[in-house]
Amino acid sequence: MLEIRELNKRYRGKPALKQIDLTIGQGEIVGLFGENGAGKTTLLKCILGYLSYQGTIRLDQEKVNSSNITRLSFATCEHSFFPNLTVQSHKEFYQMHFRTFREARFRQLTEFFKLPEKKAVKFFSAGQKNQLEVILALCQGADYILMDEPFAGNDIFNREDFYKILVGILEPEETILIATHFIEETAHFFSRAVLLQRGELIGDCSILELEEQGEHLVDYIKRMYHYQANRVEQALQIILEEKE
Amino acid sequence: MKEYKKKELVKKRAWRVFEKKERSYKIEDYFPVGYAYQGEIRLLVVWLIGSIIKSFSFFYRYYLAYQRLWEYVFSTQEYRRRDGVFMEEFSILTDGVFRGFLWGFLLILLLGGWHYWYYYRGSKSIYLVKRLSDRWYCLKSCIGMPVIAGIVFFVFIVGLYGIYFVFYKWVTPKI
Repeated sequence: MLEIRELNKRYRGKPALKQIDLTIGQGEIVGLFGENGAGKTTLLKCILGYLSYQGTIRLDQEKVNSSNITRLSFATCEHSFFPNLTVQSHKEFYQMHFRTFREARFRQLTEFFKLPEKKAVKFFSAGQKNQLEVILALCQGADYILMDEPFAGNDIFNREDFYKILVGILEPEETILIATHFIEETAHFFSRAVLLQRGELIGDCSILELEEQGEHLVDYIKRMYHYQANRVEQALQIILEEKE
Repeated sequence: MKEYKKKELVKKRAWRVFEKKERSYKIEDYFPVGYAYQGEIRLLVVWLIGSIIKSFSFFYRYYLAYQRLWEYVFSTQEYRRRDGVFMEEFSILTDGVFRGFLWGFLLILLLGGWHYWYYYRGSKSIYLVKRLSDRWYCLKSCIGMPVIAGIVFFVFIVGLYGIYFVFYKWVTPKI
């Protein structure tokens, strides 16, 4: 279980995360939503220990440190692979450093996405780089897989493939926390949605509950954000009136 | 038969130990992952050779100082020790001789920073490196080779200094 208590993070005095309390159980697939600058990436980086913070983050009652950090994996749109290494060399590196590395899964996924084995990753296309990033995170053998906009730059077919694969290959104990803007595409894939706004947790609900209430995730998010559907029309009308 | 098996087992064990040792002393382990280290090693070797050659300027300085000790007497057609002229101090003769090595230390320091920056180039592989169970991995890969190079440079400074000192003591005429 990943427990986050009273998490606060400031960037040069400006609050980026405010009093975040969140518990993520094993096996959950959690969508982390929020507009740009809401604090999604900051939250993920705090969990991974990349950023200093105030509050507590515990992984099965233990602080995240070098003894349990390999239980977390991370796929980011910034990419965390080594650009000079090939897919094969990445496999060897992961095997050397992560005892739980899922070799069979790695082989199947790289074959499925037809990733060139002997080409340095820096020569891959943007889509292929994203694919490798996600594959590495999925195959590290971590219990908690954190992803930050992992599909940004991938085409719709590619993303669809990934969603299907994620649903298909994940084992019950694997937990996923994905920060994404592709809400509609991914809605059916999550078991829970967490909403951030300006560093604050403004919503946390199970998709099952939403379905029982007859509400779609997109509508729930819009409701929580007080989204004004007619704001564009109003703005356009003002512009047109000013023109006239 | 038993003896043979025992020997084979010992051989296998020895090989395993050797393999393990070989694995743990790979040169790339002292550089960031995937770093093209060959060019850097070449640079360090060239710098080291250059610094050694530069330090040979000690002999030139010594030669000039030694020349000053003597004067040629035309009447007798032989060299004679000048009165009141003494050999330069060793510390004066070696002043600046090892400057190449000192700049080398600065280069080594910069290489450490360059290695760390490598993890931010092309991707943020620093995220992966920081997620390894070996929490010293990042430090080792960034400063491993700079530390080794620093030690080698230091050993050469001490060695050459010693050689020059022995030479100075041995060749310089007693008063």
